[in-house]
Amino acid sequence: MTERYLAFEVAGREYAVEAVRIREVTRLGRTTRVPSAAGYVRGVMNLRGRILPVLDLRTRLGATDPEDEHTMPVVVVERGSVVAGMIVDQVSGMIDVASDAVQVQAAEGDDPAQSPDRGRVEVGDRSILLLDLEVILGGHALRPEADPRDRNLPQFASPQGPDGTAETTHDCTDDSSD
Amino acid sequence: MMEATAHVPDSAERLHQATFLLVQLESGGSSDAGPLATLLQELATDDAFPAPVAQLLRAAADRFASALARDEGDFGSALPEVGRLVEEAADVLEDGVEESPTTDASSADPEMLETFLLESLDFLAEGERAALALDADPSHPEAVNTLFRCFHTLKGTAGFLDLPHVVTLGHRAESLLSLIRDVDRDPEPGEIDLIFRSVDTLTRMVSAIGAADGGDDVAWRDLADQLTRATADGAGARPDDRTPGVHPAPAAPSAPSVDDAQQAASTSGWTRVRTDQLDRVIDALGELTVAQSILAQDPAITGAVHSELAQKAWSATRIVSDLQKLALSMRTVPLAGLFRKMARLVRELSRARDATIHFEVEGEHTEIDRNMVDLLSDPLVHMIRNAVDHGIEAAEDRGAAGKPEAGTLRLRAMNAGGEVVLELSDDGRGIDRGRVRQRAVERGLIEADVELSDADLFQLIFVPGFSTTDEVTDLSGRGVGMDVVRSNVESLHGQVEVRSEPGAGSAFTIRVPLTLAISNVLVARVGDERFVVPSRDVVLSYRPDAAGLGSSDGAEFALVQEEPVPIVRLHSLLGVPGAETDPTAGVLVVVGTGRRRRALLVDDLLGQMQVVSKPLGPLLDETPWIAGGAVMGDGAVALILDVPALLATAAPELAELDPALRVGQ
Repeated sequence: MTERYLAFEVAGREYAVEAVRIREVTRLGRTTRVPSAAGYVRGVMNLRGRILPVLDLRTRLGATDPEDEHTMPVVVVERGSVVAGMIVDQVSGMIDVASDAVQVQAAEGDDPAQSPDRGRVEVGDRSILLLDLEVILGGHALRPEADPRDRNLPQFASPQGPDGTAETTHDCTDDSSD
Repeated sequence: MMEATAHVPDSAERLHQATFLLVQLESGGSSDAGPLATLLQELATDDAFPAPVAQLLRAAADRFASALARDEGDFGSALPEVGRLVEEAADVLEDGVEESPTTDASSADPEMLETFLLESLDFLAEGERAALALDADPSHPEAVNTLFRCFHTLKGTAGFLDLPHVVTLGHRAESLLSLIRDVDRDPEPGEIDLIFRSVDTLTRMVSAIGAADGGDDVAWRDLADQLTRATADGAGARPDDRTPGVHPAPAAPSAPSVDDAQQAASTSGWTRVRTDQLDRVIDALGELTVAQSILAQDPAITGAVHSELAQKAWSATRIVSDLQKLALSMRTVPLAGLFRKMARLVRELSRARDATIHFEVEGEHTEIDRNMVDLLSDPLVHMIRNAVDHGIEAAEDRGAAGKPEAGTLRLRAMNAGGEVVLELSDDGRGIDRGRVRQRAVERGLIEADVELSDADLFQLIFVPGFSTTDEVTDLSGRGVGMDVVRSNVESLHGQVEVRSEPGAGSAFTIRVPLTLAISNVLVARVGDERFVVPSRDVVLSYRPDAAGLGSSDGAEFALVQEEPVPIVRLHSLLGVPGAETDPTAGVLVVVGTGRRRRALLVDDLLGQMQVVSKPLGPLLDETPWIAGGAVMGDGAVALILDVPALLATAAPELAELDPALRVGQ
């Protein structure tokens, strides 16, 4: 069994996402910064009247000071109700991957659940990492200190430090219920 | 349909024989009541029958036996009733005992099913209106007929589509109404309850047919059995010997009536449109509107040498705007459905409290975006519970106060200035200012000596956890509710106000926009960023001078109409670099009402516009202080400030607002 993937380059490495998760590939438009968002969140942009959160995959995958170009490719992905654009360096194209060709990587970091890729596949002389959208799009993309429940007005002297790339997973407990 | 008689062949055969004997007696072919009486006694004690059948047969046997006991020669008058019960028993036996799957899974054409679904829900809504009319006035001339038709038609169509459970329940409900109609008496309160439950259960069952998972049909059998029992019991109840029921209030002049329903139904020329498709049309038109305005603002057009181009763009803009208004009006629905739901709630609550409450409605034809209707339900439910539970006094207290024993609850709706206004008023005890004040002081919300207007004082009841009621009842819980009302209404971009007169009652007024699809906003610049503030939240905006500013304990205030209003520095709250930090060089945008006000510091105002408010999506929707985004004329996104969040205040806020803290004097 083979599955189709879209491959793209980010910070000198090649990554791929299942084609079924791809909505479209577009170009980076004018983004609007979102306060309290994590460092890898570039902001939101207008995609034909819809508001699209844009993540800088280069920052997310560890590139430092990525060059900024207004027309960078943005891969728009969908996972459940989450739709987001990911800024990449270059889109390489579609590849077909046999499911038994995927080598599950030994976790490099200390938390395998947080690893942004879920395996590696060799296509010819290319070594492609399969991006784990669960990790990239899981949870909220807000900084830990930006807890919306902490809404005490008198303390709004902005405690926000420099942008961290630390990832946040806010639980979304809804305390507005009766 | 499976032949259920196979389970109890012998007994079923004897049941048929009873029918045969009945026909003979009725037609005069025989005058000997003995064989039927004996057979009925045997059938009544035959434990091969399922319980509901046995119950009907017992009723039939009893009825016949007592007729014979009165006068052995004149049992004829009992025959129609006995006949009905026996027939009903046969029906129940036939369609009730088979081991069928738990849900009706029709094999009919999906399109036909969908038509059935839509039509049936209409019938059932009409049935509900009739049931409410019947509840208000049990001798309502038309309501019983309307209900009968509703169940009858539903049963017929469901039979055609092979939905046996709907058929069975529809049939039982129809039988009960047929009995009431034929005996020509008013329905008992218990029977009206069963009618309501039948409408509800059938609505659930019919809706479940449309649902992907098929739904479940919990408790419909139980209800069917209860209907059967009621029909059996009701057969004997004559207009003269029924127990006088505690009937709810007579019909208020404005109570939803069957006539209204018929009037509404007679309007011709409707087309059904799926709501999700309509939603998509409206979304797409919203996007078209914005795209069109981006186009119209393009320098190539605005600076066009060829003024013809600008002219063309302008006329296209106008068409798009008309189209959007038209599409939005297609999505509006009258509030009547919501009002019916509230009438049901009042009915149930007054039952539970054993009180009589007149429920009057007005303006139920007021229209509103259908997407708003469901969201209005929760706050109304809370307000009604509160009014029934705390507002309207017990009958004896009302009598002592010289009021009519029956309380009155009035729900009114009207259009006013592009908004829908809903008002719920009661003639109860009113809000006790003293207790609200005392409670607010206890909870540290206000200082003991602070002076508050009624409007400001009553706003305190919306603070989470605020309650003046010492007792806890099962009706409205403990102190939760009013804060939910406010947060629900605010999520609809609305406001809620309270008026109250001690001893005379209270009135809650909710104002919400007609639609959430488009809103007017004020565009503000903070540093190099734009933010939009919904115009409805803005009281005023101005360039302050130094004399109108002050601070206390590090908290900054602006004096607005001689009241201190806390300043919110948006640049620091939202982390905007390079913004104006000196209020006298910027603009203050005052938002909120009464004592809940904030002065937002921005660099400048860029103007007003209409936008389509959009969510940021699950990844970012918890961004503090931000309610969503909107695409601006230049095609970029601006974030919409979450004004209720900016106003959502911790308890010390009201103390902060104490005029004693004023620093300008």
